[in-house]
Amino acid sequence: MGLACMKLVRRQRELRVDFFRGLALWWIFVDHISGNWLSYTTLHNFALCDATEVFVLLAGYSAGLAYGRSMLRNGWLFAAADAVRRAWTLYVAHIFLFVVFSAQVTWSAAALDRADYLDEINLDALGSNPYEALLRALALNFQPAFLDILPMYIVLLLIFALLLPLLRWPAVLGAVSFAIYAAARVFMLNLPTWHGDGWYFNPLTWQLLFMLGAILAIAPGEPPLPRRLLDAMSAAMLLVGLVVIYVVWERPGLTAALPIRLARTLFSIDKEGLHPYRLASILALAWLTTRLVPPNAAWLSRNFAWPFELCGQHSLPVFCSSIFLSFVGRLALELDDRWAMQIGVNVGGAAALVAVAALAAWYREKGRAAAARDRAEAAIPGLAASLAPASGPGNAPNDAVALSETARADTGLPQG
Amino acid sequence: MKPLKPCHVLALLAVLVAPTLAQADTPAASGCVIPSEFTEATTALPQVATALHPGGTLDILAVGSATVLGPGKSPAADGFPGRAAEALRAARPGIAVQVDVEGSRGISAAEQLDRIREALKRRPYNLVLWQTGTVEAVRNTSPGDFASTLAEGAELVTSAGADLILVDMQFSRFLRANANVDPYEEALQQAGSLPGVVLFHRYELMRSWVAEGRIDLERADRNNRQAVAEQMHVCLGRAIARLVLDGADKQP
Repeated sequence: MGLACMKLVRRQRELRVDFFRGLALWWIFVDHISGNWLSYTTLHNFALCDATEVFVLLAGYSAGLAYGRSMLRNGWLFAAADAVRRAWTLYVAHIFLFVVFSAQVTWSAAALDRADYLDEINLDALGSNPYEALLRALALNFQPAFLDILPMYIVLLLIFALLLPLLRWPAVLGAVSFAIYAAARVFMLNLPTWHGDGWYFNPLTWQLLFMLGAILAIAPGEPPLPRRLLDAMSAAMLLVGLVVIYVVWERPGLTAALPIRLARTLFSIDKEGLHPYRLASILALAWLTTRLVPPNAAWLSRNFAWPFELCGQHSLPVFCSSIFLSFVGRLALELDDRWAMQIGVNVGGAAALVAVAALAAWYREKGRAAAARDRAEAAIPGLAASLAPASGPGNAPNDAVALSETARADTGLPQG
Repeated sequence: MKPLKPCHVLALLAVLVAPTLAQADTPAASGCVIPSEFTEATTALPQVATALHPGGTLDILAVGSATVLGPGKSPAADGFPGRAAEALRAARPGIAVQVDVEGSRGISAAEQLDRIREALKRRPYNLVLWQTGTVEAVRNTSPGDFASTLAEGAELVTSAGADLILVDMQFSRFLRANANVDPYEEALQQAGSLPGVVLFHRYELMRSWVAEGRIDLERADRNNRQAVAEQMHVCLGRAIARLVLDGADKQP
């Protein structure tokens, strides 16, 4: 079973990215179950950033690889259309998830007599004003808890499609992206929501992390500073994070000794707008990771790595399932909060996520094989007319890199 | 392992017995454990103090979202404001304590402020209990706007001749994990430092109950839920009553 699943991992890809993307997805699942003991071991306990930053940086990296290269080969319009098509896939997935999750939470709230679920997840409006709620949900303007991540991803891809030509001049893209980030933070610009004052994950600030990921993918190059210096700075940044988390936040009294401005800053490190400390934290973490894990690291092919890689390669179905499963996990822990249930929820949930990824991988492989067979058959004269064009499910891309592969296969353009 | 010396045994006993002694001043029968830090008023509550003379009447207005309504059928009696009134009556038998509850699920601080304004137009109160912040944290509205709503409310209440006790968010594991509570807590703390305003730290008190396994609504099973919710409101009410009396006894 394990061996069969291991074979489903596509090895020609950058496995480091897949591994850490899968790890981030797993952390997102673990952290979304309130009261899960395992959530005391995830990234946000040790760094100022968390799985969201990892996920967005790597999403940008994958997008850079897929659409950035495609743009260099096929031009802006072609690559941007691909990116928009991917955003559409995400949008459809988001709406489906919205319906599933709303049904799950509202039904649970009614069945278990727990109106507070609706309060906490901000689903109240669906009951009190359903007509408008549906419209607002379609406009990504009504975002209950957990349903705020995919909308950000959609908008990030659209911004990326727009800024794509700038990838030819990474410094310019970086500068433009930073300018948008800075303006959004200083002037508090955000997209609107129905009840709140803006998206929980402000796409105008988070785009910077996404673009940096894309730049790293397309123009790795030499680092701007000596490697040793970057090592030291990154380590220092992570140390600062630990001090903030375990000293400053734990003992607010100590901050009396600090200058008031610094103390205020340390207590207002916001996730919504990707606070500069969080940005610095994820960049430091990314730098040290690339220093410690070479692209061909042997452990990436070992036994424990494949479940993460498989999840990372099929991030959309895994993410959507994790939202559903994390609420099931929460209900289970509310029923019984002892060791057996804690272990059951985490092992069962992780196994389910890997199964979803394996299923997606198997389906994709099967679809591609069928498409290749159809194409071969279509090449035989006479058969071509009797067969519809190959558009099996395997042609539906599972993520950004898959999409570029499909595009390559479909267009038959030479690969740069 | 070395044999235990008598002094070790004594130390061990002291460690085991000390917590039970420390709890001796709290009503053990109902299981309310309320550390004194939660019932110390940071400022005097002069309007409450004047109402608390023998034969006097303390009029309380309680405004908030779902939790002011309480778990039972009668919001005025079963929610923590009603329980606080009950505890105040028990503590000061000569005084009539009357409470009006204004609230509904999921209303924001701005809507609550409107209700306070309306209620204060209808009749005077000595004390306003204002439970707020959860809806803002869940919806991620601007903490700055929240802070100015609170400041406006504090001004309104004090100029209407009443004291104000702010009650912060309800603790839940879900909120802790998924909502950014800190900026709203900070806004409440700021408002709590205004004259005539005291902040009741419900979030921290409830968190301590959950951590010690005393009152844990999220983990209560369906059959016990009602009983646990009732106990929670009784204990919150008692804590608030102590805070009110502490503020009344303070010299302005």
